[in-house]
Amino acid sequence: MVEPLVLALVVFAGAYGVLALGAAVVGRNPREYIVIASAGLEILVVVQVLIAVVRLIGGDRPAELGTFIGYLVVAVVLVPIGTLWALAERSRWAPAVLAVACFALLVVAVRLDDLWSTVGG
Amino acid sequence: MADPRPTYSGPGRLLVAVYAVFAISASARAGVQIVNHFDDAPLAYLLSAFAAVVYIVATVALARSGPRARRVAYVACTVELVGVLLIGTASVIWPDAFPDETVWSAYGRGYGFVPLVLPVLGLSWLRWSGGSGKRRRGLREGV
Repeated sequence: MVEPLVLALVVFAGAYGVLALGAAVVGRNPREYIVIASAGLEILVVVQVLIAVVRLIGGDRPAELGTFIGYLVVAVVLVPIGTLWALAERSRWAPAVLAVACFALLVVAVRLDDLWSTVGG
Repeated sequence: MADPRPTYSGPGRLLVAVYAVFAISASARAGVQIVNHFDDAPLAYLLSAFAAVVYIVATVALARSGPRARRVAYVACTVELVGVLLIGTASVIWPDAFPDETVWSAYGRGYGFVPLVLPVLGLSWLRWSGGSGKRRRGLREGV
């Protein structure tokens, strides 16, 4: 994977997750900010996944190719589904859903990076 | 008595999200284990697949409204609680029978014991949200 991009993704998702958790704790549901932050995070995810797909097509092979592709698919759908699920909720539990999505994305990103490390680049 | 509160609203919204994450990760894990090296630990992998199905059913049932979905959710969460207790205990007593980890090994230690807490939360939420109109109104004001 592209290291600066993975780092940006992890930092963004981590910060978003913590802020979303904070919003849930104090009982806020900032819908506009949720949409903006989710869109920003998803752009990072899509760019990273596209780069990975291009390199896969180019012949690079990470360890456990099937698992890797599975993680790529989950990474792309995680934030949009979490956001849609959260926007249907009017209470503090909406940002709590985003916190779960962000932390799940963190795990996925770290696992993808692990698997890719065998490619050497 | 008013209709029970939908299981997917309020705290249930978060519960469904966590269940969905477990449904996806348990399914993926079981799929990879069964496709790649089923013969290494068939019992553990079949249990992984069973756990995955239980999580999927619980997620879908909790995300839907109506008495039927609620009953299905009750059954799924109960099976889940019994499963994590039985398999957790079995994996501690007979570690040799589980050469590879399942979601429920050692009461879900590999997943921060969330698999042990989740069915308790699920059953509590089903009980709480299915209460009388009076209790439901109290909850709605509290959230």
